[in-house]
Amino acid sequence: MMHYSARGGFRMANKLTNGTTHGTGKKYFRSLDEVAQTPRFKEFLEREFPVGASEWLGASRRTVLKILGASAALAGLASCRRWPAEQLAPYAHRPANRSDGVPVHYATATEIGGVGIGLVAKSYDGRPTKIEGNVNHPLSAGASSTLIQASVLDLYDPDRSRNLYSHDKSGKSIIATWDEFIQASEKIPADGNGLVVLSEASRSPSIAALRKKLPQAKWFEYEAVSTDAQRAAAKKLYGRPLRAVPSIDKAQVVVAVEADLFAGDLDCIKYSRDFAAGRKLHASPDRSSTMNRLWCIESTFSNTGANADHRRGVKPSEVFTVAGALLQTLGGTPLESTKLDSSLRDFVQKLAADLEAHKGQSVLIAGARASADVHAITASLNELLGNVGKTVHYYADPEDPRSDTDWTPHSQQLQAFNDAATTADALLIIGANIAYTAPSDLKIPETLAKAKLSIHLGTHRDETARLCTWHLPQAHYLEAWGDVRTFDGTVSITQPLIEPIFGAKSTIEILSILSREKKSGYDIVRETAAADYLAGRFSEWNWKKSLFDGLVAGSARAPETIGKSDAFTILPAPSGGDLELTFITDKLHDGRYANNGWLMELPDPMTRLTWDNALLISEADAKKRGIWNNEIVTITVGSTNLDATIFVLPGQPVGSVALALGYGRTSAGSVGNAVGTNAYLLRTSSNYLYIPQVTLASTGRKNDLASVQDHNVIDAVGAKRKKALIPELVVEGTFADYVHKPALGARKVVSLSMFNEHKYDQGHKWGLAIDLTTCTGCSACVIACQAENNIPIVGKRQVLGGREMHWLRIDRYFKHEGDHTQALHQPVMCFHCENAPCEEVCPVAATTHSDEGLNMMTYNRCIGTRYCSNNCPYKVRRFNFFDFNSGTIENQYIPNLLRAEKSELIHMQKNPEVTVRSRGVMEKCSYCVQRIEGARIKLRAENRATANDARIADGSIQTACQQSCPTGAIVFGDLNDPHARVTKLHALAQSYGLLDPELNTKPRTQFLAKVRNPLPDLDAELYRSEDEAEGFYWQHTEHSATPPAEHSHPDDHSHSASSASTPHSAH
Amino acid sequence: MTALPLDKLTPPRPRDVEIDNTGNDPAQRAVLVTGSAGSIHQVTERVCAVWEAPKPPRAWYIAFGIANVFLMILGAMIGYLLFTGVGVWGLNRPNMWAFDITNFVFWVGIGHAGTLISAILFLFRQKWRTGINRFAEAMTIFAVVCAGTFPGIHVGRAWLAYWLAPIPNQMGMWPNFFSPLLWDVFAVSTYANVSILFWYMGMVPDLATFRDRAKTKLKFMIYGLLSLGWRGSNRHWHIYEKAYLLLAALATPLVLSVHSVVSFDFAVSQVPGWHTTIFPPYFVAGAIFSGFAMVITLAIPARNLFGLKQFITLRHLDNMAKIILVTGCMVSYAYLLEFFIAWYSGSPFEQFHFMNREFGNMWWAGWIMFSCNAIVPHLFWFKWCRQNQFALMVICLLVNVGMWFERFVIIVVGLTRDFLPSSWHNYMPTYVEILTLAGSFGLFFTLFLLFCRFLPMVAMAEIKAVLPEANPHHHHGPPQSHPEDLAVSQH
Repeated sequence: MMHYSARGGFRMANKLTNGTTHGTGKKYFRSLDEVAQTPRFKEFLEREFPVGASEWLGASRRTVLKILGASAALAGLASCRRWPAEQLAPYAHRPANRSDGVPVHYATATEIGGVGIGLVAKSYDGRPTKIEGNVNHPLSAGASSTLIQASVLDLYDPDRSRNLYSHDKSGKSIIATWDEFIQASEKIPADGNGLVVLSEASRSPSIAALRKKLPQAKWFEYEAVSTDAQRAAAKKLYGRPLRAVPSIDKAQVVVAVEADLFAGDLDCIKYSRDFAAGRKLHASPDRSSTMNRLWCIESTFSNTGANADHRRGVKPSEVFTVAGALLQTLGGTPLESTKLDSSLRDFVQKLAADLEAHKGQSVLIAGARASADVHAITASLNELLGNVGKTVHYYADPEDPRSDTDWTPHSQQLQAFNDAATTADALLIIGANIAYTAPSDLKIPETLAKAKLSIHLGTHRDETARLCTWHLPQAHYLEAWGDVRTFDGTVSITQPLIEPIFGAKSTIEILSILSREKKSGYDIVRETAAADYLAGRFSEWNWKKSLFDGLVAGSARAPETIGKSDAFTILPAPSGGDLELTFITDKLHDGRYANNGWLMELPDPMTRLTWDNALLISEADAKKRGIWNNEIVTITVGSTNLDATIFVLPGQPVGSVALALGYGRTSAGSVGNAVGTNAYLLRTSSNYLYIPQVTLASTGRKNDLASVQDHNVIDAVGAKRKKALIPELVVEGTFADYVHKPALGARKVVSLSMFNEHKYDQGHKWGLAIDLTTCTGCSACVIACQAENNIPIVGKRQVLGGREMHWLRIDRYFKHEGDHTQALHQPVMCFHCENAPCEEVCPVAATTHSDEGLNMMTYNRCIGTRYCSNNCPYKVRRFNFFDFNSGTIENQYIPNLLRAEKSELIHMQKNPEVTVRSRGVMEKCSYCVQRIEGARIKLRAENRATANDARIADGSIQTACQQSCPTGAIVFGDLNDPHARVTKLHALAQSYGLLDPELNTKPRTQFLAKVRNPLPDLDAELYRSEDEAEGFYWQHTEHSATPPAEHSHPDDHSHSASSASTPHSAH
Repeated sequence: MTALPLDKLTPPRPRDVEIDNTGNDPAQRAVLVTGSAGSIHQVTERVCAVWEAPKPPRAWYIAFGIANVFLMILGAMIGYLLFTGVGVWGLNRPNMWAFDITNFVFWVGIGHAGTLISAILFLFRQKWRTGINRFAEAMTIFAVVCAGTFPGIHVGRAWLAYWLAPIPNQMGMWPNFFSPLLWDVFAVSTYANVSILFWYMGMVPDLATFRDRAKTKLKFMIYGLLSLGWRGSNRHWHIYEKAYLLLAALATPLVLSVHSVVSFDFAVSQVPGWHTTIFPPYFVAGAIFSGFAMVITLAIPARNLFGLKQFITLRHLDNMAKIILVTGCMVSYAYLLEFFIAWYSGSPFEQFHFMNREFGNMWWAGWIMFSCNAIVPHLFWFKWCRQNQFALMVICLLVNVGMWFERFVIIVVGLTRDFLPSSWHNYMPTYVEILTLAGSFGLFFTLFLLFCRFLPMVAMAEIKAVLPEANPHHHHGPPQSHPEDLAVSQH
């Protein structure tokens, strides 16, 4: 299906100028003065607008035009509604497949840092509101990540650049027009001679094709955070900078070395899905089937480490040592003898043995923080273990602007750009915000300032834009045509859903202007398709099918076959200092998402911090230096100083501090400016991944970090209680225990009631299951929920005050035994308790139960007594303390009548199916009731005859969190359907309701206990088998682990599904 | 004192002398109105003197000025709250209630003593109540006004607070009768209605006295309207006494019910530290405890300022201190029993709550509550403390502080550390909450000071009935005389 609404229709006004103006008919006149052309008449004509009309003589025609343009632009600024008049009129004939208010879905694609991701965008009346993964796409497979979910908000960012700016050398910037830019760009020769381009990474065939049309231009690519080191290693080992693609799903043993497999890495959707494939314990009735094992070696505590079965945190310089020791143990290239302490040596021995036992079924993955040497070690280990071709495949990357022969990684590209820029006539910077992200020793701002003509194409007027002589607004991917290849070569076409809101243009359109072709994005992509990925089979049908499917069938490439690796030498392990600083990436990636409020307020999976990056430090290091949470310290590296706020992260390796990149922006926008610390100021070409020696000095100042968990220091009494309580809240156990005793301590409740309770035996009975084993804590669900349910952001001050609005939160608990720290993630949203404590206390009946078991909020009825939240043991209810949806995050404390309203633009993202809540009302997870009702309406419309009997089929409703979850940990469905997945999951022995034994709330959301798969003889203190400590109040019932038999009756609605030994509840 | 010519023009105001009537002679009942005030004529003269004085004492003006400033602060804070959002308070998740409901329960508790004195003590024929019942009842009503403010403004959409009332509507949408908050609405509004009715009805004969003594037409009209045509006929008195008895019988269960129902807000919920069956009696005892402390806090300045020492005698203070002692012991017992039950219940959430209350993040609040309510009142075992006005004042103020903290501790400590540690969050009030609490005292004292100035502070008609003159056969002993008092008591 093609989307035509984005093309045409919007430019009607321009066509009016073609109307006739001068005829040749009879001459009429208005007065005799006119005929006589008397001086009086001439003056009258001149002074038609009598006061001041003719006085302004100093301005040139151009200035007048500029001012006119600026006025028009400012007028546009004041009202940014994008409703073309003709769409407001009712249709005389409704276009096919179009009903007002009924959303349409279009396949599209985006790319982040050169990683192409196939998507499906949902659009209401020409307004994209929600992004999902494309089920057919090899990378997303229907799921998504935090960045993908949040990308729709960027489209409506009020701080996006709305104009072209031309800067003169005096530093003044003038609003310009595209025509002016085209005129200016003609100074650059059509073949690109003298042009030096620095681009963000892109794997777009169209860009690659356009590059060929500027043959003389020098092209460089830079990404501040990338896994280019992996390709550098491949070049070293195999002579070509091939891309290694791991298939974790085919591996029994997975080793992550400095890799953020589940949240930080741009391929995280695929990694998470593949990882979960080896952990779906409930998928097979045979419990003794195997489970994969994740090992993790890292210099911080990432959520990959939190999910690892065995993890070692080491200093960044020691990662190399540990990896080298592993290679040595497995008989690879001999290295210099490495010194490991006994614990690490034991770890390496056991890991080596585990890998040895799983040859061809293991995979080692090094991530963005790992050096090329570490990548070389993991690559040669993969080769040594026979994993290549089985769990690791190498792919070529022909869209890369760097040729295979003189390929250098991103870390060196910027240096080369810097050198080339000195002799260039013109610079073109596409997307990359190098003035902010470049290593500080390269002095990029100086290079840019020196350039005579520098053109910046970007979505925001960022730090780089302000240093260039031209800034061009770059189109969002939902506004422009494009195409992109993903890791295996599969091409997806980026299909726009909306006309560029601010007249921005895409990269391909700009390149086309530079090559003088000036083609539209649509034409460029079609031509590329015909010449490249649809070559020889291009037809309207194939084109449309590719658009409809979201990918070009048959465009995937075969993996490259590689020979034996070349022998390589590894330099001796660089020695580290006593405190090393490692650069990490979090939700803001390299900082480009700093102005995205959803991401800024997304709690980090490990620190649970919002609105700040903090210097993560181990408890031992902090105590040694007498510093603690919220204290500002000065980090000193050589002569460079940087202030950062301390956050003591349990599990952070001793001797290693970590600081996330992407904060401390100065020209990000109203959300991202001056938030956190700019770690790039410490990054240099030589200290690119980590700094081997830093010193910290307390400044005595404080900055309150807005963590959504552990808001305050927990006192001794609370800490003791917390420690005792957590094992009851997050049930976990080892795979070995699970095989014998699948309940793992999960307690089921036998409910006896004095009341004649509602039976829920008619119709549907909605329920949700969350598998803690496969939940990685990546938080894609949190943003998906935010996008779907119109959840506002509240700002740092409100988060500090405990008022964040996320309906779905991911609780994180640490477990500390001996030297080891583990972390657990537990998504918590409304559990839709059958005995909902919130409902009976509401005095106005604003929260009630549906006969399908939904705990519903009636916003219109809510007066905001907040009693429901007090009585909710899970604290999942959110209260609108202010009118978060209309004000800005700065003016909440100003009375509503006196303050400025939020930009209208942001409201365009809102999902029209979900009420936007006003202040003073309570809100919470609704199980995406709008999706349930949508499915019901669809079913009834399709199935009119049997509308009343028709049941919504299992799987036809996905909650927003479920849809985004890359591991499929969340399953929603009808508990009255014995074949529904959720019913089967609830019946498992390891399924339990949070606090259900204590409070008898009968939650409809149940957790499946977390299972880890450790070796029996490693980290034993973390995995002590808990001998079912008998709780004092409820009996522990052991359940059969087999899913309910096919014949189980739908009336069997009790949570204690099957146990014959349990008494029946009294109805 | 010899009569001076001047005295003939303006009769000297009788001196208000402190007379100790706390002694207990088994053979004789203690006198209830001491000294020269103890005659029917003097009762009228002295009580009306407060009203008839051309100007109130200077202290009244100062107090009224201060109270008004706080009243205006209250108005400003409520205005800011309503135009901005509940977020201007320091509330958060999990502490969705804090100062708002604490203040509500505190003021409702204060409002208990009045009706207890007027209804329960009446039914138990405790004649000493007559000296204090009028202004204790006034205090009750003003406290209920303050209490009623908070639930109204604390809701997120205060302009819709009327939805709490069962108003017939086209949607057939009724309030949720399961909710203790709705029970509150009924309990508190019933209590407020009955208290006002009881107070006003008891005042009718006295208002008639004011009418009769009114010197201006306006006063005559106003008090004439208020006194409902009271003529003091036998028939009037007969009906009045019967109605008073019936209202007392009606109000008595309300004294017990209103705070029981308020306690259900907590007891019916499942927050650790709230979910306790002992709450209804414990809250009622606490309410009487704090109510009497407030009566003493008000009575001591009032009797000194308006010359009422001989009506509100030391014996009254002594009796009230004894009630505080008794209810204080009940409260202490409840505190200790809560600890026992937490241990005995075996619920780790309850056990943790009580550990946390005394040793956790808000230990200071827990200890203020415990020491003010369970330790300080035991000073009333000493007679000196019961009769020394300064000691009484200090102890009663501490009791009021302690009782405010009791509600604060129950509400906030319970919420800050409830079930899931991930949601634990401390609570800190903002300036808006603190000023709103201070402003509620402004409202209370403004109303009370207006009452002192314009309404009969002591129930003249009732107090006359307990004078020896009224009851020659069953009297309370001869009026005790005092040398300085003698000169003017010979009328």
